[in-house]
Amino acid sequence: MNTMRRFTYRWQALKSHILYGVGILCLLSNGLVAQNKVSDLVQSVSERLSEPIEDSLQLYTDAHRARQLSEETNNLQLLATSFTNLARWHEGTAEIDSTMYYLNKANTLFEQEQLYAEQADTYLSMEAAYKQRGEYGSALKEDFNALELFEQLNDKAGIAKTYTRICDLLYYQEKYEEGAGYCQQAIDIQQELGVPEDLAVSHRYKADNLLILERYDDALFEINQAISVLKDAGVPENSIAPNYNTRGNIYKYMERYDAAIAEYQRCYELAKQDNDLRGLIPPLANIGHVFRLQGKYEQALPYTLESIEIMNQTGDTRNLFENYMHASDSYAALGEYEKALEYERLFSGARFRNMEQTIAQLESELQIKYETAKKDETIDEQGETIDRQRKIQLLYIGIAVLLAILLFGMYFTIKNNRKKRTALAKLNDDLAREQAALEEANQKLKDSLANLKATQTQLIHSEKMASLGELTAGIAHEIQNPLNFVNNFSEVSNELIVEMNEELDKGELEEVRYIAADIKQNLEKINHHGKRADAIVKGMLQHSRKSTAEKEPTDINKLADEYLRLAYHGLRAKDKSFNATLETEFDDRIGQVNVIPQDMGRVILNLITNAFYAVNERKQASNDLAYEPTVAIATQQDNGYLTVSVQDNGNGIPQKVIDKIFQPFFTTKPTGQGTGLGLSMSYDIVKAHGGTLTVTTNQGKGTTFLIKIPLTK
Amino acid sequence: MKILVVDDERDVKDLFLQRFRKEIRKGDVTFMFAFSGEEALDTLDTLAHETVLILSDINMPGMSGLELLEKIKKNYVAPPPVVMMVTAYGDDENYNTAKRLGADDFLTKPVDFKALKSKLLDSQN
Repeated sequence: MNTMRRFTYRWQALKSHILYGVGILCLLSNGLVAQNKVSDLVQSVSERLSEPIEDSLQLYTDAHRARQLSEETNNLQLLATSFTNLARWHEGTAEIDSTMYYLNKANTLFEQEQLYAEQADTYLSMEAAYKQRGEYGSALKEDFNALELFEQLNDKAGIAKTYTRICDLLYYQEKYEEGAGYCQQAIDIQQELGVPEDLAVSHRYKADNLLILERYDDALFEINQAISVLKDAGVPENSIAPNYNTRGNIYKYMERYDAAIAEYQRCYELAKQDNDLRGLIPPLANIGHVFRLQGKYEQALPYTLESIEIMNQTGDTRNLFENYMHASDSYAALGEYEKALEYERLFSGARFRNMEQTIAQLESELQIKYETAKKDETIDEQGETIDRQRKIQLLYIGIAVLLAILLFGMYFTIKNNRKKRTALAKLNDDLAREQAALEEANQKLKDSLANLKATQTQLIHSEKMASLGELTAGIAHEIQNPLNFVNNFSEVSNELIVEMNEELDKGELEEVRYIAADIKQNLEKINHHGKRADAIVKGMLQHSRKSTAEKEPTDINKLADEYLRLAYHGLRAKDKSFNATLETEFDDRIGQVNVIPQDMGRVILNLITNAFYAVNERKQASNDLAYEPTVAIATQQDNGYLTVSVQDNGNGIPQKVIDKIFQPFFTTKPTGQGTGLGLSMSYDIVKAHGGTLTVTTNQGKGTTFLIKIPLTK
Repeated sequence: MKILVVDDERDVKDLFLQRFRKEIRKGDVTFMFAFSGEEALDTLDTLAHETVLILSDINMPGMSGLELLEKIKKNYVAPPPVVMMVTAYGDDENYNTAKRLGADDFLTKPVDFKALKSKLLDSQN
């Protein structure tokens, strides 16, 4: 019983042990399965990232699950790969920081796990991310990190790939000769290795550099090499697209425009097929550029604008500022200056950001040069025998010392110069901007001066025509009266002659004499009124004529009286309700004065018209029935001077405008009613006669204008 | 019959005297002349209770013919003088204003003296 119980107990214990063991086994096998699953998942994510992405969100979810599982299973290599995958997923979006975050994590883990090839790849991924953002200095640093690792691993494909990358970066830093050299190094290695895709890239980058160096035929040779290498390897067309783009560029600079556009359009179609937004940028921008080069601005604009839009949308802004400039130029050529200015501003902004990066680049230049030197050393060493190595080592020590001294000097010079350069760049910038602004202002001033001169001529003519208009009605009235008299007196005289003959027949000689006296008087009147009409017509002709006339002896009193009447009737013709008392006080001693009659007449007319305007204004504004609008004109000879005064009893001129009334274009009349030139012209005319035109005004009582000119024989 | 001619043109006097010399000689009409509205009112004041025909220009410096018409029609009621207005413009506005102010007739320049004569004879009869 006891035994049995014990046995039972033992069995129970054993059973529980067995169960425990099975449990552990199960757990272990579960763990293995999980490990495999994670590895599969990570690999699947890696593969899907290499192909055109179909379901981006699902892929993102899987990439994160892969990372989580790698963490849970504590598989650092898988974890690092997962981080790389996440970084790759973030590539192509504008958020470089997410990419960098994951790449740094992956990098640390790969190093920890001593997976240097993978670590080198993460450096290259970092380089791509920096390059995409235009931070070429940082990008170059990553390339050298990768290069160091590849050299340690003696990974020739890696080394060549990195050379190609460096070549591209040097292109963006405008060091084309050096860049082409790196590409050639890559090409040499890759031809041996038989890696067509990498080789093609090297050919293409080299072609890019040669193109800028204006070695078009060499560039065309390289790009054709790239394309044939890829075609031989059976690579799909969409992977060849960048090469077509480069070939388009070469054709563009060779001015084979139709061939260039054909290449770009092929790229555009391929990018469209793959839904590759970034891929659309180069063909669009380039087609725009080609049209622009051909002077087809209207055709160029839509392409340029679409490329700008996609650049901003995708954050791929490497060529943004030059396309802003192209857009601005095209708008300017089409005469849409507002748009042109808008894009010019965008261009300046983008260019400024670009320059900031250049400055930052300069800062890292020293370090990069140092590292470049070191890399070259290492590469050369590998190709040499140990003996030569020793000799060269000595040489290198010398070079290194020299280099150190040189770099040390450079370091300080650069550091010292950097501030100066920044300040100088800013100064240059400011100066250029100021100069441009000055030139623009200058041009604007010139334009407005020319406009002003044209307008002035036009206005002076308008002023003459306006005063002629004022005169016309007055003239019609004035001319009708003398004509009536001429007609009437001649008719009456005719009747009188009939009567005179009757009286002659009757022999009434006394009566005949009376009648003859009447006829004589009538003839004098006819003559007088005929002359009066004649004078009016002459005055009108003189007024409209250009002012080139000479001074001539003129009866100022008669002139003043004529223009007073003309102005009065002219105004009444326009405004029937207008009325004013006219007072004249002419100095009979004056006689003939040497003036330009039509000019002086214009002055008097202007002053009188203004006086009428003033009294009329006051009358219409006030309810004072006792107010009698009065305009008085007086002439006087005094101490060798002739004075003509025109006085009104209007409201007077306010003190704040009295200083301005002789200025051209100043008017208090409502818009359209006065040219603002009347008084200015009057002032000039009186001055040309060697005289003065002055004004005295009394608020609420009236204004007197006084013309004073010296009497000359 | 007394006719007062109001016009700022002084030669109007000689013209009327010659045009109406036969009628004046026969004693059918007597002419008086005023060279402004103000002068016309002064003359009218000296002619109390006489029948007068007034022939006035409209456009005159100072008091216009229309103002004169208004004053006459307001102040000289016994006996009301016949007032004929003469203007160079002959436009509707002056015509209507003159009618409204009580003008008895309206003449346009140049004055047709034959027509004027027959009108004067009519008003006499």
